[in-house]
Amino acid sequence: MNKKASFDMIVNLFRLLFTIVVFVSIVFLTRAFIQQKIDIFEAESKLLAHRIVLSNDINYIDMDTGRTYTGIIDLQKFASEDFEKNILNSIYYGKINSEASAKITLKYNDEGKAVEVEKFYNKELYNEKKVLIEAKLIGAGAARKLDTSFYVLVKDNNNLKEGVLNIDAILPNQ
Amino acid sequence: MQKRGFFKFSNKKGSLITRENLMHLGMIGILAMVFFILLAYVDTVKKDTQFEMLFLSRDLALLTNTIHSATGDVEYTYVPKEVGLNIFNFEFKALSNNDNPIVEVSHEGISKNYPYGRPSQIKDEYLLSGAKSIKFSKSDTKLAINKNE
Repeated sequence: MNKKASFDMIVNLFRLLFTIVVFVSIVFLTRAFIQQKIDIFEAESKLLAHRIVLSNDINYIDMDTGRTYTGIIDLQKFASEDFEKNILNSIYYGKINSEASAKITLKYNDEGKAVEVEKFYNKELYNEKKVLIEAKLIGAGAARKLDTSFYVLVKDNNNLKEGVLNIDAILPNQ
Repeated sequence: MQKRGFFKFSNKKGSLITRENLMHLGMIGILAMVFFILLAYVDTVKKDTQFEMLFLSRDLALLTNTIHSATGDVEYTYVPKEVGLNIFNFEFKALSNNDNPIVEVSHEGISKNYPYGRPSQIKDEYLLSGAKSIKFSKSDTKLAINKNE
């Protein structure tokens, strides 16, 4: 093979390599526009928070009319020992719930003193997944967290107090 | 190096031109092959219903959760604009081992499911197929799910 032929061969090799790079780029660009995954974490976690705040297990229900006053938290219901069991039965994901968990914190002022009441929806899963969130792990076995706050009224016997209901929802990745 | 090329131009310059033309033909051939492969791939993705099943299972699970969260009576008819429902089968059931409530969407032997939360006292299961729309009716804590054909 003479010098010109070998030069031609090198040039053709570069042309071939460049063409392959262009084709591969076209294939990857096409695949990039085809969406195969659906992420509903934000919708699902906000829905869980709203479901908790709208639940009959937390809201004041008028005994005479049977009407639920959403946004008015019945402190006796919320602070009772049965609250966590009741809310788990209202939002039931199965005997072993591995789909959703939340920490529910009610903060209000009682005669100038700040009071904080903390409850959980699915406490075991919450504590289990909290570790993964603190470690900032991502992927299929990890979890994600979303905080939502609601301004509420707290009904303590016949007194209405202003408060904030904070819901930290932790959902494992699907 | 061949003295005679593939074509009539059998001298050295002719063989160079032949090689050049063959190179171009090869490139055009590869280009056409990649183009048709991409076209076939996009066509396969278009015909594949798995994405629709993923979408419907999640959408229906979120909708069922939302309807359960509402206080009072609710009636809602589900008609997605983006996808037709009549080719799919819908099953609202609980998995036997752990009693997990799920929405399962299936088509031609393939199924996708997604969990949703319901009050623990509700045990009703529904199987719908050939539906044009799905009607949800909630009164107190009971939820009835029916199809409209």
